Amino acid sequence: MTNHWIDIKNSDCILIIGSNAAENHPISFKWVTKAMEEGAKLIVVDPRFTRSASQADIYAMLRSGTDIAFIGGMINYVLQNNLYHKEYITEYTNASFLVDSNFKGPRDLDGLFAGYDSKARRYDKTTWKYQNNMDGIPIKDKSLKNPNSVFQLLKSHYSSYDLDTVCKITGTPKDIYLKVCKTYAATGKIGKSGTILYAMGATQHTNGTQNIRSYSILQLLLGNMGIAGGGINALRGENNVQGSTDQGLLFHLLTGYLKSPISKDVSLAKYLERVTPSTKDPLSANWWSNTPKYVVSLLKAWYGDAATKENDFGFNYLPKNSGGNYSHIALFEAMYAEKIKGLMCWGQNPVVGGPNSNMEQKALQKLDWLVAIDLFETETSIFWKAPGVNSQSIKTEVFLLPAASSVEKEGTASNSGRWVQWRYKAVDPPGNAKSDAEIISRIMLKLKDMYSNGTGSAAEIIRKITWPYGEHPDMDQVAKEINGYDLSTGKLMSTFAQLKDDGSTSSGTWIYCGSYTEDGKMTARRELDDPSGIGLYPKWSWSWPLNRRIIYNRASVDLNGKPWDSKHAVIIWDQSNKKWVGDVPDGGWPPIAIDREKTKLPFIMQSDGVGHLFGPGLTDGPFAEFYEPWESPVKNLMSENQNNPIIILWKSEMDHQGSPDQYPIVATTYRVTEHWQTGGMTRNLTWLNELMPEMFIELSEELAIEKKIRGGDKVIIESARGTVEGVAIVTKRFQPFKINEKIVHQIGLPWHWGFAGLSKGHIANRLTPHVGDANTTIPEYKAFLCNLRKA
Amino acid sequence: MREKAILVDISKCIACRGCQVACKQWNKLSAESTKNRGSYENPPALSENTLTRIIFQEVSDGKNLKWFFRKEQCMHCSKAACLELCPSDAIYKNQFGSIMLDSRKCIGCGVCEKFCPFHIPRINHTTHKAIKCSLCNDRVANGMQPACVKTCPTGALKFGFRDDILSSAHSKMNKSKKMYLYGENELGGLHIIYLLTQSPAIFNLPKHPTIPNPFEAYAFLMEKLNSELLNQNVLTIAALKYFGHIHA
Repeated sequence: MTNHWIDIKNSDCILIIGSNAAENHPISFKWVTKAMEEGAKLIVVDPRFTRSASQADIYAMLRSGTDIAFIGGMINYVLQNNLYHKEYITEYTNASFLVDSNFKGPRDLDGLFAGYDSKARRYDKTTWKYQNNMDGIPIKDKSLKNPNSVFQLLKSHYSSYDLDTVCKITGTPKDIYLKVCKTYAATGKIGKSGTILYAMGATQHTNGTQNIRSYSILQLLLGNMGIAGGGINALRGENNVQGSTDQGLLFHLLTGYLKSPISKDVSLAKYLERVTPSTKDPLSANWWSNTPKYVVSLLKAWYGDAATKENDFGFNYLPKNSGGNYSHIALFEAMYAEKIKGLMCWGQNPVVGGPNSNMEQKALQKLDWLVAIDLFETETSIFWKAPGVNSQSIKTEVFLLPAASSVEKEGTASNSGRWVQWRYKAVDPPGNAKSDAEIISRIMLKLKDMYSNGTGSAAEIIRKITWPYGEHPDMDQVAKEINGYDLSTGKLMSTFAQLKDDGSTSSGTWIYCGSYTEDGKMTARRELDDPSGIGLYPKWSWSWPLNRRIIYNRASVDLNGKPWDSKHAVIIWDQSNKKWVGDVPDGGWPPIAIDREKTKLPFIMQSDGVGHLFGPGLTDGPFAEFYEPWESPVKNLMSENQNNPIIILWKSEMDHQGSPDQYPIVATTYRVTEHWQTGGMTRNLTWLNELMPEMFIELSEELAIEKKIRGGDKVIIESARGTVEGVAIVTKRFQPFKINEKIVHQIGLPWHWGFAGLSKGHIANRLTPHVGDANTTIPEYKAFLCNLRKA
Repeated sequence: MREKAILVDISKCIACRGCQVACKQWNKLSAESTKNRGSYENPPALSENTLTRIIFQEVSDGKNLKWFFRKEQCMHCSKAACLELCPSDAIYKNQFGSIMLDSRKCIGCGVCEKFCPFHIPRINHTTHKAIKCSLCNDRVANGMQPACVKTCPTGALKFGFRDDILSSAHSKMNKSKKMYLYGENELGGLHIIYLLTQSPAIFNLPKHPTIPNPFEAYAFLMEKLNSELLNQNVLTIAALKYFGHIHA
């Protein structure tokens, strides 16, 4: 979240898209209902009328996977009707920047951007850049009229996202779509705010990253970034998934979103040169220019005294990616191809949660060994006795390590709003269950023991890792290491602004620097003061970065430092004391109009200092362009390019694409309030099983009549990859879509069930494909084709 | 003592059903073995193990679809049929106005189950005792909120003094004309006050709930006497209770 949970209450308009917040994040509705009491409008966009939709002022149906068409049409509506925040986009975004005159977009190139290499299936981004002046600073036209300006390119790009075309693609009734546009665009008015809440319904697509990009464009146009009640807010589906990405869970990142080294990075200097952005614009803070300080402090945290200036602070102890994709799908393809022989599956249950799970289950059979670490037996830990599997033919050696639950261990959990909150252990774990920290520490100590006399690079790396935790790690010690130390005094660092690149400071995760200081454990604070009056609660726990509750908050004020919305002021410039008051500002520089020399632009994490309407950083285009999902029942109406041209595909004998003749029905997967993820915990709780006892499939009354299915009947869903059975819920909450004059049916099913636990049912992910987003390789769980029949 | 009540504002209910689970947890009630019947709603009815539940209703006028969620539980009526008709005086009113059930006195005759205008109490067929929501008397008497209210994330459930609850309901009604109030005057005033988004009939709430005629309860007990050998004394006490005042 750029903002945080409580801040939802400050919003004038809440747009929930790609999320079913009421069902999957019930507590969010504490704040949604508070906002609505103050007159806020709630818009819910979803293929199906959900528990969130039940609360909405406007519910708009859209066919799964058509989000970019939907948001693109809203962007077009805002631009055509001059409803954008003119001063905001001129001063705080790259709207006025001129783009390379050779840049061409999908309207010129039938769905492609300039630089497409069809053989390599990738883009050469040479022309995706600004025109710079002699000093290397981007040339701007603040009238926004230059045809090469970002603003004009944006306008032309989205001009074809007109009402008719958009509704033909999405299947949204036109009157409702217009109402959505009008209601949400009203937040472009100065002093009004709109927030977008999204989750996996937005990201789990072959266009997932660009779905979010489209939100950024819309929010920047309306001046909704940095303000209270605004922002782009990812509702994270697990209580500490924010924390795990902060701490380097993703394969392309180290901790604190520092980029992973690749094999070309032969030295620390080479690596830093590649990953540290630069700018020649004196008005840009370009915060990532501090990357070397964060990387060296990280290396000092990990390798301690073994990290010296002479050995590049141990940079070469880090693994280097030699160009491989190590995302979830890729790893399972590699297991299937017998390239990976062992797997540690930590609190994860891919036999239920992985896409094309028939294939992922098969992949596990090819392993030499599998370690599952979980609270209960899961489908993954007992894949060898899955229905239809002959256990005797499986040679994989499987270990199940019992793990402690969240209330049986101490540490922090980081919520969606970036609050890092300390939690205490309530009870001891049962039996031999251990905390994750103890499990990993004991494995590492064993490794260190085994490699103590070894030779070779692996042995050296393992020997050099700082590992002071012992068998029973002290979580305070770990949290302090993550925060970091001044190594000359041994004192805890209080801010990442003081981290150094000379080896004199350490910090395990630079964005957490300041969370555990000489003043104490900030994450354990529980004070209820709210001097802001907008629910910032600055002394309740601690939020990264630097306890800032709303990021990009210097965009919440005008050029004089006066809030756009004085009723919900995030920060205010106090001219008499020459400082910001309110939330921790995104840098203490004075406002633009107060001091044009000392000021800095507000979007400090972008090298050019402004919000990106034109976003050249992604692999598949600087503007979000609509393409159909990998499996779709219709032709793309925007261009001849049916799918995102650079999506990542795999071609094992278990990877199949279904055709609309055979599989004419669109399907999506989701969760319900009563169960959680793969059900590993919740399907073992009888009170929850009572509420949601069986795997089900939701379908419209019209489709039910066509297929002669009644509510409560058993039905079979089939895709090119598998078959699933469940109980039919026939409901008005699913309506057939009219897509370009053609009726398209959509169904939906939860992915919570499996063959382990107390409540058993079919695995929805038997149906979903191994196909990934062009930027992140997140699987396309949320839009695929199927057929169904009565069982 | 000022009476206490729960406000159920159904415009804020998202049917997370935290209340259903919290009730079972606090009251140590077992899960039921259920089936998906083509709906999210479960269990299908109140029972000896389910004292509150959310009723799911899809209502469409052809154009607009609504999905309503109404929490069902004992209404704690000021003039309670169960209290008036219980032949063993097992039902009484506590200091908060909540309708309580003394299981030591309960004989499991089933009058309360049969004649409650909202069909709330249930007979546990193992213990042969009636059971229903006590408005968490054990929590409330110790200064806490009922378990269902405590767990509600959206503020759809609020607990407090009945007069405060009513005035906050009225102020919300004044702000939003489309709301309906239920429970202010029904049966002398309920202690579950509903703020509804449609007329009570849509939610199957009786427009004028009444206490059934005691003759019917007497006839029901007579029938029970024949089939289940209830003690003759029960019938005598019931007759005195139901008709005593006529002769007096």
